[in-house]
Amino acid sequence: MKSRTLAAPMLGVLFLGLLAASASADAVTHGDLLLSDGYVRAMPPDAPVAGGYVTIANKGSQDDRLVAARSPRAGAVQIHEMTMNGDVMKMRELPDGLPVPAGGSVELKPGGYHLMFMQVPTPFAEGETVETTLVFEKAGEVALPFAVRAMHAAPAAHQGHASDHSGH
Amino acid sequence: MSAIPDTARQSVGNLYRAVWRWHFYAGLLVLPFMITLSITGAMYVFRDEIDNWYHADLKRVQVQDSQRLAPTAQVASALDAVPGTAVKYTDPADPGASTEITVSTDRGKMAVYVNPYNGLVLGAMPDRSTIMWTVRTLHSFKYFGTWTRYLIEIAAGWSILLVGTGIWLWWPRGQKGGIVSVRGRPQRRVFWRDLHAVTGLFVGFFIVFLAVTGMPWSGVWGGKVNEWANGNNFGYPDGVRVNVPMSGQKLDEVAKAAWSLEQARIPESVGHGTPITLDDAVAAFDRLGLHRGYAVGLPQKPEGVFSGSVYPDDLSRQRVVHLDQYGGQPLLDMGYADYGPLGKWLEWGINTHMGQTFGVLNQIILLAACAAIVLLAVSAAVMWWKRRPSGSLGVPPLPTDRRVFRGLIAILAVGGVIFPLVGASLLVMLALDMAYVRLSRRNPAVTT
Repeated sequence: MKSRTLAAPMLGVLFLGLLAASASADAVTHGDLLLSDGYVRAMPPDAPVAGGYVTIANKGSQDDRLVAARSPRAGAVQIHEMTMNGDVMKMRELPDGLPVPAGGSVELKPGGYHLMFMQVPTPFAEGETVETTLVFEKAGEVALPFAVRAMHAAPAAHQGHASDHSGH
Repeated sequence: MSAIPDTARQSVGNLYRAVWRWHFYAGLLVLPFMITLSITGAMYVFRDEIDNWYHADLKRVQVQDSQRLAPTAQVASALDAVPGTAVKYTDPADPGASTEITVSTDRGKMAVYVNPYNGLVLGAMPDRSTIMWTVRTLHSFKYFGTWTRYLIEIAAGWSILLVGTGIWLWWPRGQKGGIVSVRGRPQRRVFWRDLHAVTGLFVGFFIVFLAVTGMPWSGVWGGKVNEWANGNNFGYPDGVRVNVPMSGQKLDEVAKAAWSLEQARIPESVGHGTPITLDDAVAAFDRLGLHRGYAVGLPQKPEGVFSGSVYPDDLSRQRVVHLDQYGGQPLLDMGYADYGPLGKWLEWGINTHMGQTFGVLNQIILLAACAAIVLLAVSAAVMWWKRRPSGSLGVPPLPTDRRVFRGLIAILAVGGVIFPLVGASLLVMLALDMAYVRLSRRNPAVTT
């Protein structure tokens, strides 16, 4: 059971991510790139950072790369990756950005690649739109709105036994 | 029996054989434990260094000039990444450390690491699953279950017996070497005998010290002594004024407590109204002067409290403060100075056992002691192998005069009463030895 300790909350996030993905969102075309379903999660009152997600498709014949992002609502936006190694979850910045292969697509989603909106003076509230600019190595800058969606609910669907509270 | 001079009187020879026999038995049983205890112990002495290196991605951050974010913001960030209930906030011990936030999820407790400067979650893993927590449970054998811990308690008792009998065997009896020097070459048994004896002479003190100071953690003796010594006054030292309602929850369940505070219970808030925030509580703990790196147990119920606790290398800075979650006033505030003389000595012993008392020197001396203990075990195994007749256990021969066992048994009896589990194991070994002797008489092929 140990190996599943972390999986549940992560699954909860993933699950909501899938739900969110199924909702329609405005897609933006820029050259060969199609950006769709951009959203950020609403922030709890005290939270300093928020995750952002979007799907980027590259219909061209040239590889491209997401190298930076920014938003007037945040002091900084970083490109991050979440990885799971056994029970250990790690989040790290991708300093070289994120490749978008020719003819392929990359999905920024909970539990994987994502954007981190940092230094957010006014927390994102559900129903708002957060203007965000993504910077690509070749395609240049693309502005698109990120919808603010509800925070993930408690992963009630995955309640197992409330076991192993001893922490040994 | 090259170590015994030919001129030795018969009685000395008899006693020598008896002591040697028990040294052999004790060694045979304890040898594997000595090796695992030494290796895990030597690692654990450097736990902060190793954990900070092995888990650097989670535990270390770039030092920044900017102010740290408020604790509530960091907790919110952690809960955003790992949904659940925050149960503990651990203050970064130094400017390059991350904040550890313990989150209770439906799959157990998770340790979530947050960069205090920007609020980014660095990662998460099950609580107490760092490499050094694993090493700690391997050291105590808790890793393998409750019962296996008793083996460690027996091993500790037997290791003291080993030192006592070993020193007796080492005691110079007119031989030309092997006192503080090593004779012969590695091909010869005397080389290994001397290496073992001389190493043992120097490391014997440390073995006894580590065995004795390790005993408070043991399953039977340590558990009973802890209950007896700390079971009063809700688990606080006698001098500490406890005049607030106490909950049934123990501090140790929230944040690992010092040995003397394992029975300490968490008090209940007496106030009403609007609770103070974690930020207020942390500000109060800072104002009260808790050593950096303190853990804050968060209130989980209306009568819960903010429990600040810290057990730094500097013993005198051990501190536990419980704050009323409404008024923010300390309900109970105690430090090392509140322990009685016995408690102070005991905590000093434990602190030194863990390599914390004398800084790096403490760590290096213990590392050297651990290396020497491994050398003792290896040289013991080699000298036994070289002496061992083929196809036999190679138990040292029985003394011709059995009366010499009386003194030995008397010593074992005293030790056995103080440490019952060790005493019980000695009785079992004595019975096995007698059975072995009988078997050998009936079947001479087994004789050594």
